[in-house]
Amino acid sequence: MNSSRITGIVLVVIGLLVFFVLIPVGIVSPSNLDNLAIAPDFWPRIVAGVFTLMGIVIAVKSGGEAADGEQSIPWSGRLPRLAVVLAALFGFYFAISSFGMVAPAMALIFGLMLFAGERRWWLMILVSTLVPILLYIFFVFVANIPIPLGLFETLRG
Amino acid sequence: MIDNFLEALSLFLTFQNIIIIFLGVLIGTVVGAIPGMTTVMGVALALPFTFSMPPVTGILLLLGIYKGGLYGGSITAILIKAPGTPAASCTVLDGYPLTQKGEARKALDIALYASCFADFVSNISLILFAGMLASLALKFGPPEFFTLIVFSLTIIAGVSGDDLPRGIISAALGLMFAVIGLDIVYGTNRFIFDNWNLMGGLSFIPVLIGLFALPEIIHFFTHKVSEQLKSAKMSGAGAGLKEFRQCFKSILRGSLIGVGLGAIPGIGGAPSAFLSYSEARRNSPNRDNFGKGELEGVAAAEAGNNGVAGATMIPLLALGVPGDVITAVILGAFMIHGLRPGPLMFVENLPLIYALFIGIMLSSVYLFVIGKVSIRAISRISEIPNRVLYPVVLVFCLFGSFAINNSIFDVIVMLLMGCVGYIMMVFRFPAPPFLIAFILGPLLEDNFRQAMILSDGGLGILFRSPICWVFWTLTLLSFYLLVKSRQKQIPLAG
Repeated sequence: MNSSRITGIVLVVIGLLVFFVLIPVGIVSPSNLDNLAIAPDFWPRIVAGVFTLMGIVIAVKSGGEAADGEQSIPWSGRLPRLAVVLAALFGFYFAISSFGMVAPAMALIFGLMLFAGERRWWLMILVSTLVPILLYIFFVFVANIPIPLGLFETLRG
Repeated sequence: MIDNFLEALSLFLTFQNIIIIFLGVLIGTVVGAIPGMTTVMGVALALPFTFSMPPVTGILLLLGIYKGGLYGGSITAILIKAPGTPAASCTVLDGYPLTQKGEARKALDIALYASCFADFVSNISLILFAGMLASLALKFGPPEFFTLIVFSLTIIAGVSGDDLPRGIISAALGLMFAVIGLDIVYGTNRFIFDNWNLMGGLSFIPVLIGLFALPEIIHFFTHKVSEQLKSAKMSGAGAGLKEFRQCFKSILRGSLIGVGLGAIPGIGGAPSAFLSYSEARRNSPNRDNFGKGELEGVAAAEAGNNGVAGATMIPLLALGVPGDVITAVILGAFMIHGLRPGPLMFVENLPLIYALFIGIMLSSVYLFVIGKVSIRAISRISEIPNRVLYPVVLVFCLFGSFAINNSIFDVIVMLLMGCVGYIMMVFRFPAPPFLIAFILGPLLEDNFRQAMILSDGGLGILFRSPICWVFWTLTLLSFYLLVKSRQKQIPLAG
């Protein structure tokens, strides 16, 4: 079975789950509705129906086609790198409450430049320090948006 | 009329506005010239910086980036065969062979002249037609707006790439994400799941940045690619009035093609560039030289590409529906500044529209100046390696997402949307239909429900007037033409 067909089947399953499970659970509809077309779940049900229908089209259309491009991409090599990038991104998010945005942003830029193969230390230090500071200055002093500093809040003065 | 114009002048004529358009065009040209950065990314990243600006200033900055980006994509297309934007891929066909012949300077100059001329023609068409269309649209009620938005959703066919079902799936996802929040008719919960942050729905900017910037960044870091950027070669003599005259017919034709296709929602710059190029080749006495380094080919491609810039603003300003992905982002910018483009804006905020027109005209002049003066420097900036650029862009995304509502919740929305966008990228689901449906979805649903309330549930109201019928017909026609034009474009592009 080629990957387009699998993609199509997965989409059909998702569409049906949304239609029969997620919409009834996630959307609250008044019980005494005369006009179904203005019900809060009318439009989402149409969209879920279209989603399912297109899933069927993708699954059926893939019949005679060669396998999709995504199948040939070596995921074994990509997954560890993907895990590192996602850990860095969500690590940044969870660090905001403790360390604010500026210090984690410096670490993020430095770490990702290193990860991507940059080895000019002066450039890495310069970019990772200057960019978050300049963004902080713009948002705080020009746009009046209080960028959080976390533990370093006392530095704000 | 004169009062409105004078008020517009007073709105526009500030030092800040005059500088900000210059800055916008410059940033757009640089962003367009960097392979891997797209104009949509540039506009999306600049959006949070406009919050503190007056509406006219903020929107002019974004328009400047849009226009600069369209031209900037041609610089690397000509110099290193790496189009900065999809629309510039046509410019490669003759631009790069000219560079190989040692005539890069001439190609860059004619690209600039064609871009500026086409941009100017497009701006004039915007000024002439937007007001007329808006006065017609004042007669619209909810059924007419519903059919108009259905017509606008044909954009999805134009931005779906070569797989329409995947484009429709992407749009359906966008529509589904758009319903999150409190229901506007009954005030009940829709996919909130007791999280009060979701009551107002998902903010537009984290969704936009997450979809368009983050997947590219994740993709870059998950592929261990050694970057070997070719160095740009700015060789040969420049082009002057003589070359401009030689190419004038193709430039004018390309500009008009750009205006025509740009005003139709969903077509965009790339098909326009290819159509303009093929028409120039068909009509040129040097047709055999096309693809081997023909100056007229560069001029035609750039005129077609840039001719759409002003025209895509016609449906946006007059009807409140975007002509392409970038104008969809600009529509979001209007909304963030508390403005709603559409016919009513021509009644309530005419000076603001005139002020935008003045700024848009000035952007054509700036494009010329920036192209002439700083092209050498810009071509060097395009050599910044992605391993330095992408971490910086990522931090811009994170700060920008936070800045919308001073909310860490928006940061996690952006990150999660980035993951959704990355999965869509891996499985070849195009992101633009998602964004367009996310923006147009609420308008579509609101107008449909208002029409249903008016008619007490009767679907006949959606066919009540000739305007409705015109839009139903246009929807079918546009859908047919978009599919046909895509079928033609693919072999030509290949």
